[in-house]
Amino acid sequence: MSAKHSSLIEIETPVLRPGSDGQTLFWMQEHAFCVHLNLRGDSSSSVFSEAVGAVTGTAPPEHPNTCVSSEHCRLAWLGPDEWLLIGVHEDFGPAPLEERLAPLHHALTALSGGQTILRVGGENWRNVLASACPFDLHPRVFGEGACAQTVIAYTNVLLMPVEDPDRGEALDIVVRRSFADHLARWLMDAAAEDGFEFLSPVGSP
Amino acid sequence: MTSARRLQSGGLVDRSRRIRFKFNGRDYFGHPGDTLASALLAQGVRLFGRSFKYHRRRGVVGAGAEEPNALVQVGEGAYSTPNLKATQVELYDGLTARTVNGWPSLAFDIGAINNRLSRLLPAGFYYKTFMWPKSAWMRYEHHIRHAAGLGRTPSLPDPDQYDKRHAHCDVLVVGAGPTGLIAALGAARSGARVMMVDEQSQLGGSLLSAPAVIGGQAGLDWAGEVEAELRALPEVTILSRSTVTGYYDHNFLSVNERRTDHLGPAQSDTPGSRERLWRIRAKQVVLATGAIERPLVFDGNDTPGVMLASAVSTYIHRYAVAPGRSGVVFTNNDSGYQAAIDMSNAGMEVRAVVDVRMTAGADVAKTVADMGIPVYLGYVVPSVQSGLQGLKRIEMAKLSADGRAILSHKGLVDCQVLAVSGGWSPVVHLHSQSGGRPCYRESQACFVPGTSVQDERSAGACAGSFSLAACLQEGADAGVSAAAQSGWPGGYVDIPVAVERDEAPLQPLWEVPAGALAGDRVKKFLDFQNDTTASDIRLAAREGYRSIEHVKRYTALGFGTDQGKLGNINGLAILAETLGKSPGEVGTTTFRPNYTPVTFGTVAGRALGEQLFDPVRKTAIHAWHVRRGAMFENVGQWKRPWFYPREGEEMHAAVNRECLATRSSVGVLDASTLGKIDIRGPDASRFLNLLYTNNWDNLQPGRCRYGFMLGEDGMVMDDGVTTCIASDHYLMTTTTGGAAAVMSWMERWLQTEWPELKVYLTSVTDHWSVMSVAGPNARAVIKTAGCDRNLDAEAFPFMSMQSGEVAGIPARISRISFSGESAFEISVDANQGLALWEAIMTAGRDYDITPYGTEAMHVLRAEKGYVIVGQDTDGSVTPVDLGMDWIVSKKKDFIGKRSLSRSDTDRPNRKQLVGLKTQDPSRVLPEGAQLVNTPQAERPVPMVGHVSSSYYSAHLGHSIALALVKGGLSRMGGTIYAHLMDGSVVPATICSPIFFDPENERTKS
Repeated sequence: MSAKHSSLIEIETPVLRPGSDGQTLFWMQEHAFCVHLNLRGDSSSSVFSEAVGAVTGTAPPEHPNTCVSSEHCRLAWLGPDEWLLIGVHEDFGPAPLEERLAPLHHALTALSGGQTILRVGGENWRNVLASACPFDLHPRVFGEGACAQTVIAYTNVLLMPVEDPDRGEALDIVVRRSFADHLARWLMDAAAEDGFEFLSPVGSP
Repeated sequence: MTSARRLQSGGLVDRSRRIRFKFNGRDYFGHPGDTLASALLAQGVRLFGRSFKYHRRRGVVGAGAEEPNALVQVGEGAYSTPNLKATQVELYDGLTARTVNGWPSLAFDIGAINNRLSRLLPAGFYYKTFMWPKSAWMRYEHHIRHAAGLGRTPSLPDPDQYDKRHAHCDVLVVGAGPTGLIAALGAARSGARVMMVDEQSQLGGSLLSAPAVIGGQAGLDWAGEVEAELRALPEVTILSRSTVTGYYDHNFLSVNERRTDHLGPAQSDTPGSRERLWRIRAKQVVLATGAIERPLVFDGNDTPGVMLASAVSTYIHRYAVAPGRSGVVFTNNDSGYQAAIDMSNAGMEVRAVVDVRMTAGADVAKTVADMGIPVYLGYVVPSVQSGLQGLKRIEMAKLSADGRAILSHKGLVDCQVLAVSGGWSPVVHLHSQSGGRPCYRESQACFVPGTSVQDERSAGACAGSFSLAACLQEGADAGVSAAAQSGWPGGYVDIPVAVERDEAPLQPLWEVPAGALAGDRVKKFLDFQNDTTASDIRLAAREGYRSIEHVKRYTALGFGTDQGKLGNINGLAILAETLGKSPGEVGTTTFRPNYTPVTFGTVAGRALGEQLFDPVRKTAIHAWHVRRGAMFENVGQWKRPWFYPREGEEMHAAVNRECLATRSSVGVLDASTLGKIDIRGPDASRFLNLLYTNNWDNLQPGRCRYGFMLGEDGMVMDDGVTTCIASDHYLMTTTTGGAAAVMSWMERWLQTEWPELKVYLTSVTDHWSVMSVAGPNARAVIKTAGCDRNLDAEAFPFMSMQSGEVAGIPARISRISFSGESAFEISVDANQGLALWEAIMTAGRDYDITPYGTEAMHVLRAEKGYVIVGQDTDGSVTPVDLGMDWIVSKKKDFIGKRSLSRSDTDRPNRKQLVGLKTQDPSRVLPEGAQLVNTPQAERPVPMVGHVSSSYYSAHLGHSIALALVKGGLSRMGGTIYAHLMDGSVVPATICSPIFFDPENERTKS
């Protein structure tokens, strides 16, 4: 097994850059090398939902722009027949699900190399994102269990509110690998006024 | 230096601190709370600028965004900003400002000669005069622009930062006067998310400018309490020094927030923006934008010292400045009387109130009478007299009952200030921008908002309700109901008591007749900034203009930076009178964003420069390319290595070296940017058959095939290699730039035309890192890196794919070649892309492995005659034109098939792809060069094609080019001529586009 490299290879971490008044109101941490699987199938088929449920521990969410979590993975709604599965552990692989879904018309596609998660938080995270994200991030309309596909700084992203075990309220930004560097640089720039900290990535190569 | 006009008490300025600034090179001072205009007025300055066309002396007319005259250039060097209104510029230490007009100096302006020549410069003068001769316009324009002059654009880059903020709210309240404040409070108490945006430095709106009692307390104290409650609510956002500049569809509004202008430039090196563009999506909008007072139209109404009555009151109350020693009021409504009361209270000698009407409101009439101010009912000011420093005296005359004639000359009254009030124009700009149509209200002689088109309502003065009590009532109702309609029904507010005055109605008087003193140069100004006069409007009407939009363009009415906030209504009313219509029938001109000017920096925000202007997409191997010193090329949003120069190496030397190394040993290309679409489902091959021109039924798992995708017009849209992974699973590659478009194209057909096909698509472009190892030693390099597959040509033939491991990394290995060499494309999980690349580079060291960029790739593929969609095709080229009819199936249907048999696509003599060899082998034709058959032919020489790709081939030792030539396929061996930009003509021989290895022996080896 050779070394893996994160998509933020050109951005040095950790870096702490307090804002004009010495404050640090934004943090970002990449969760690299997670297992990302794109799933397409017919959720109106009970066989499909049961197969997904049996392997992931939860049926795929049918309500638009919602996500669910189990002990194995998170499942985010992307479209009426499309979901993103993000494994909680490294060993969450496609094989068991592929086996259960084999008789059905479906597509289970590995995207682990193609996207990464930038987790952001801090007192000012909503304002930092609002510099370039037209989506309403207010907790009243975008809270736990929601997900949204939108853009930040002209980059397609999937957003999922999360509770970071160490740092509290946070947001996971799922972004394509090729755009991750651009997005991180934009966030760094947008967060500069009120200070930011970029932590070392989570996820072992 | 004294503050001759500063009052001893009152106002919202801090007299304990002095702020020093320069105006037109002279030193002045003011206090915190002052604007540039108020500080200058306080020091007795009356002359603020010269007018645009006639270069007439001008003073301050207003006190806010409506100011047409006092335009200044503020700041120096890179921090210089033109055309700010002195009435809106907050003072800061060290501020420098100069008037934008007036050359060589404000007091003596050579351009003032235009004033003497004004009879030769009527409306439309430029259109009529400078159209002949046509070719001279460029020269005329230069001089006209210099003569006009409205400030100077700084020539240095803007050192400031700007940013943007998206925001969402339940209720957006525009304006924080009494109406806006009470609306925001009523809405916010419901728990709704409320934003209130106000353009001033301090909340309060009209309460800042006039004395008011609300609920038994001073108006500003009441405003302070409301503000404190609002600020304590967590879901309320208040933006000061922020102007709602545009109202767009779906309740989307733009706000220009000025964050640091009041502090002066370059406050610190800390990051932070000067201005911020807010992009607000509101569920409900309350417009509480107030009203702007109208001037009266009489001869010399632009004389410095003639001011809006409300502006006079504002300078006295807010800034504690008496704008002169003596004053007269000229009004057609009750509100003008307030200026007389305020001037008198400020110690000015008020010599008269001249009222157009025969009856004034009882309350104001009594107050003014009690103060001993003489009131002249049924009188007007037909003209004024001025000296070098502005107004000296006014003429007073008796008006006829119909308002059309002067009955008698009353006499002259000395005064320094003439406070005029012609009624109020509600600020209906945002309502109009939202799609509403303002309608004319006869009783108040003003346009008020019409039916709401979006989720907005107007309240208070901007809805034509000018009394404080009505403003509070309407504001409260608007705020509470807006919140309720946004889903927050719990709003409430007690409406505090405000004194109602007994008012007499306004009497419209759009133009004051010329008086006894009228000379032959009467000028009654409508648009002060563009010097549009009442006679210009009548001239336009005489010349046949009827629409207010045409009259506006002909006379320049409302074209200035103030956008006609003062003069437009008077102008359209005079047009209406001239045409015998009512103002409502003439209507207003269109109110367009932005309400006040917005800097370009704000519009750009942070999306500037190489880094942030547009996303930069990077492959997993990008960092290695950077380390290696690659020059990059933008391909779509991707950065692709263009070539890798060695120290001191020119581009062509580098490209030649990369090409030769690949042909003679081994090269490696980062091909990760190609679009990749994973296609699954039992109908996948049926779908491919419909998309591609060739047949996909018989492609076996593990085999690859090249295909062309056509648009419905039969023209080549994209190309690429698709690999069969299993009978129901394919991986398609697309061009780098076409990836997203192809993906949506495919989804569109699946979702809208062929929903019965069981096919799922997933974009996997970013998941796979792909590198192409090409050249005679490619196989040896991969073997050295370690590969578990048999790579020999028999076991692993051209156009096949196997899964295996390379350098211990799970990989898909394909024998695909875009270089014409024996090549292996290796795809791995992008997390391991860099690791594989480095392993290949290490393994290739003994073979002098050479990374090559897109330029060498282009040369190598052109040697093979492989086309690049978008370079050798341009949306008008079919596969047949490319000489590739072998790829077009005759047996099946596919998108674009019918178009291939259209008479035009099927005709002979279409432009066809050929190769060109210049007769001088070292001569490289420029791409895009036009081709002709006989350069000496009579002009225009018929053009028969163009060069689409052209390079020097180091391997072949001569230049090669691909070209699209009419009937080219039947002209092999013929001569054609490239006509170059420098006039030279280069002969070339038409040949096959395949210059190298036509038998494909190398690719298959």
